[in-house]
Amino acid sequence: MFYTLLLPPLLGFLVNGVRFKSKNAKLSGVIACSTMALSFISAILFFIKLMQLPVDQRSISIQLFNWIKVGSFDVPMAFTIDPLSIVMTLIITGVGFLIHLFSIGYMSHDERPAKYFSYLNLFIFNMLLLVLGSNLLIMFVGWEGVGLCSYLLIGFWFTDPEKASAGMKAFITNRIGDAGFLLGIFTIFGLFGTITFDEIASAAPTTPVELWTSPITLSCLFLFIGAMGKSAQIPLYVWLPDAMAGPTPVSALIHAATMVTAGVYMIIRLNPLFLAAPNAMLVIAFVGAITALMAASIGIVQTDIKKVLAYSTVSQLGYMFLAVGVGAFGAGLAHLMTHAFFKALMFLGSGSVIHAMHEEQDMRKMGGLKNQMPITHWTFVMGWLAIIGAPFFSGFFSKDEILWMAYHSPRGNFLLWFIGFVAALMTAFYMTRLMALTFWGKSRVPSEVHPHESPSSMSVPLIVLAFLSVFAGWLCVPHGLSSVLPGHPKNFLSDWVRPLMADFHIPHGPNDLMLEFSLMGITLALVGLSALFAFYIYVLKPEVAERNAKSMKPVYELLLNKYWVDEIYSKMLIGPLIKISRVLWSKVDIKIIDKVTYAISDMVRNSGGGLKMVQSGNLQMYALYILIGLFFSLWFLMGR
Amino acid sequence: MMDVFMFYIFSAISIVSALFVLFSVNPVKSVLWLVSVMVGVSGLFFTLSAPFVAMVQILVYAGAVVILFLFVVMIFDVNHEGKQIFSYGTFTSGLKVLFAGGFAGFLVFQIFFQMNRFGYLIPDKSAPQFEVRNLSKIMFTDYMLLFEVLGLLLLVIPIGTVALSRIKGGTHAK
Amino acid sequence: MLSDMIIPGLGHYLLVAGVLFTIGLVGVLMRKNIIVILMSIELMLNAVNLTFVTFGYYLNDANGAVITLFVIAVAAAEAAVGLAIVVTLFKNFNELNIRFFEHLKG
Repeated sequence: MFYTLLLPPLLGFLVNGVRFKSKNAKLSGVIACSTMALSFISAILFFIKLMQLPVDQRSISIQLFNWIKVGSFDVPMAFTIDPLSIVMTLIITGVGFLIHLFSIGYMSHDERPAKYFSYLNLFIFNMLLLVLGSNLLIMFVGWEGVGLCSYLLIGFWFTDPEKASAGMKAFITNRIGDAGFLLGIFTIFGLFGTITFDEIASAAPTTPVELWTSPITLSCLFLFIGAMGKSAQIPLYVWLPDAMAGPTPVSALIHAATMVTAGVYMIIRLNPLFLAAPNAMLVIAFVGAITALMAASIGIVQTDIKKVLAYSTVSQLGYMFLAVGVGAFGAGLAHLMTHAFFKALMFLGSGSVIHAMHEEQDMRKMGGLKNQMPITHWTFVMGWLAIIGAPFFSGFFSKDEILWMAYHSPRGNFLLWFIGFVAALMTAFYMTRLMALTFWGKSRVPSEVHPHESPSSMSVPLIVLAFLSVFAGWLCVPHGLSSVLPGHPKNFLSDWVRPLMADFHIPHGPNDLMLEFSLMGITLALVGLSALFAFYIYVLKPEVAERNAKSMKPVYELLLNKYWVDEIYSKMLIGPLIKISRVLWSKVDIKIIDKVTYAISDMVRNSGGGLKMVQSGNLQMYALYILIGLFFSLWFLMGR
Repeated sequence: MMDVFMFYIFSAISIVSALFVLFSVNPVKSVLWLVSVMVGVSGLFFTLSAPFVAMVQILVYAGAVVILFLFVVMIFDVNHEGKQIFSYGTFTSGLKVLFAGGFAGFLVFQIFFQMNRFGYLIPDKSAPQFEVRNLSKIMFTDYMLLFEVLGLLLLVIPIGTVALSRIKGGTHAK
Repeated sequence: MLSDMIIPGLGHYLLVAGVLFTIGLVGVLMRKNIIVILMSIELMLNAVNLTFVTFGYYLNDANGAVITLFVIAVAAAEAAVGLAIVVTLFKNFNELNIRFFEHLKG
C-alpha cells in the first residue's frame, strides 16, 4: 500500500513526461489527476490505519533498501508514516488533487499541458519524499526536488525573459538556504552521529542550552537558514513574490499550500532539537514576527492581485514561524493546515479571476466582479473571512492560538504578541482592500473584456476548498476557547500529533482565561474596525484612498517599492559578486586556465597530426606494420 | 632413396614456381604458375605419406580455387599494368624487403637452432595416422562443432558472394 | 653427418615451408595487382598447411592433417569472397592497383 501512496505521482510524471509534446490538456490532466487520486486514497487508508493503532504506537516504518553505508554513516531509504507526516501527506495529496483538477480547466488553452502536469506530479512526488522520509538526507532530497520543480514551474512560460529570470531568482535564493540546510545536517551528524529523526529526538538533550555558540544552537540556526530560503522568511523572502510569474495553480500548490510550508514542517519534525536551543527559537520567533509585519505592510499597496496574495503568504508563513518559535508547534501545524486551505482557495480564486479577465492581473482594472462570477466571489469571501480571522472561520482558531501563545508561552513575550497583532490588523486591511478592488465597488473592467464564470472543473475545487476553509478550524479549537464553547470540542490536531512532541510545559495560571479572552476581544474588535475602514475607503469613498496615498507619499513609496530590498540586494551583493566574477573571468580564467587547456589540446592535436602520416590508407603499408610487429615480438619471445 | 629424390624434386618445383608467381608480369601466367606450386606442395604431402590431403589439395586448390582466379583474370582484361608490377616507393620497398628478409633469416636461424637443440625426430612409418578412416573419425568426433560451423560458413559464402557481385554504387561509386 | 644434411627430415620440410611463406609475404607486401596479392595469400596458406602436415607426420599425430583439410576449406571460401570483392571493385573503378584504393587515409 505504501507504493500506491508514493509512486503514482512518479508514474504520472514519467507518463506525461514521455508524451510531453502532447497538446491534449484533458488527457494529460486526467492521467495526472488519477495518480493524485490514488495517492490521496492511499493516504486516507493510512490515516484510518493509524487511527486504529494505540496512541503510543502510531508510527509505521517502511524500509525500501539500504541507500548509503559508509563507515558509521548509514542511511537507509526508509520512510515513516506517523501522525505528523500523515497530516502533511493528506494536505499535500488532497489539496494537490484539487489543484490538479483546477489545472485541467486553467491550462486548457496552453501549448504544453502534458509538460506542465508532469512537472506538477514530480513536485508532488518530491514533496512526499520530503515529508515521509525518516531521516534528514531523504528530506533533503525531497527539499531539493521541490526546489527544482518550483524553478521549472515558475519559469514554465520561459519564453518571457522576465518569467524565466523569476525562476532563476527563486532557484538561486533557495540555493543559499539549501547550503544552510546542508550545513545543519553536517553539524547534526557531527553532534549526534546520526541523521535519523527518531534518534535525533532521543539524543537531543533534555535540558536547554542557553549559550549562543553551543553546537546545538548553531545547528538549529543552520537548519533555520534552510527554512528561511524554502519558506520565504526575511532576508530570503524576495523570491516568493516574483514566483507569481508561474501559472496560478502552481502558485496555489507550491507557493502557498505545500512547498513553502516545508520549513515549518521541518522545525515541527525536529521539535525536541529546537526546544533544546532557546536562543535559536527566539531568533525564529522574531524573524517570523517581523516577516509577518513587513510582508503585510507591503501587501497593503500592491496592485497586482497575485502579488498581494504572495505577500500575504509570506506574512502568514511568518505567523507559523512565530508559532513554532515560541514552542507552540501544534498551533503552527494548525495554521499550516488552515492556511493551506484558505490560501490555496484564494490563489485558485484569483486564477479563476485572471482566467476570466484574459490574463489581466492588475486589480485597478477589475472591480464589481461579484455579479459576473458569483461562485468565485462567494468562495473568495469564505477565504477572506478565514484569513482575517472572523469568528469561527478556520483562520480564527489557528491565528488566535498563535497570538495567545506568542504572549503566554514561556518563550514568548509581549513584543512578539504586539507585532503579530499589528500584522493581523494589516492583514484585515489588505485582504479587504483586495476584495473591494476585485469584486465589489464600481466596475473598472475594460469594455472589450467580458468576465464569465469558470467551468465546473475549476469551480468544484473552489467549493471544496471553501468548505474546508470554513470548517477546518474545528479540528484545532484552542484550549481556552473549547472550555467556553458548547460541547467542549477537543483540539483534535494537537492531540493527534502529541506523541511526537517533546515535553514543553506551558503553565496555566488562574487568570489566563480572562487574559486570553481580553486579548482576543481587542484583536477581533480592531481587526473588524480595520476591515471596515478598508471597506469604507475602497468601496464607499475611493477618492479617500487616492488622497491618502498622496498625503503619505514617502510611506506609500517605501511600501510600493517593497522597502527597496531588491535594490539593496543588487547593489550590496549582486554588484560586487559580478565585479569579482569579471576579474576572475578576465584574469584567472582566460589568462591561466584557458592557456593551460589550450596547451594540452595543442599537444594532442600536434601529436595526432604527426601520427596521422602512419594512416596512409596504403594497405601494403599496413601489412608491413603487421610484419614489423610480428618480427619484433618473435625476436622478443624467442631470441632472448 | 626414392623419397629423397621425390622431396628435392617437389620442393624445387614449388619454390621455383612460387618465384615465378611472384615475378610474372602477366597475371595469367602467375595463375598458371600457382597451379604448379599447388602440384608441388601436393607432392610434398605424398612424401609425408598423406595421400588423402594431397588429393584434396589438387582437387580443391588446383581444380577449383585456381580456376576461379583464372576466370577472374581472364574475364577482366587486366594486362594493362605494364612492366611495373611492384608498388612504387624506393624507401618503403627497401623497408619491406629488409623486414621480409629479416623474417626469413629469423625463420631459418630458428629452424637450424632448434634442430640442433632437440635432435631429429624419427617418424613412426608403420602408424596409420593419415588414413582416411582415421582422419574422418577425428573430424566427426573431436572437431564436430568446427565441422558444423564450417558447413554454415560454406552456406554463407555463396550468399555473400552473390550479394557482393550485385552491389551497385556504394559509398565511393563514381 | 653429410647424410643428415641430405636426407630430408623435419628441418628440410620446415625450410621449404618457410621459403614459400616468405615468397607469399613479399608478394602481399609488394605486388600492385590485387589478384596477385590474393594469390600470394594462397601461397602463404599453403606454406602453413605444409608445416601442419609435416609436424603431424613427425609427431605421429593425425590432427595435423585434419586441420589442413579445414584450412583448405576456409581458404577456398576466402578466395571466393575475395574475388567477388575484386570483381565488384573492378566493375566500379576499372582499376586493380592496390594503391588506388586509399580511402582509409587518415
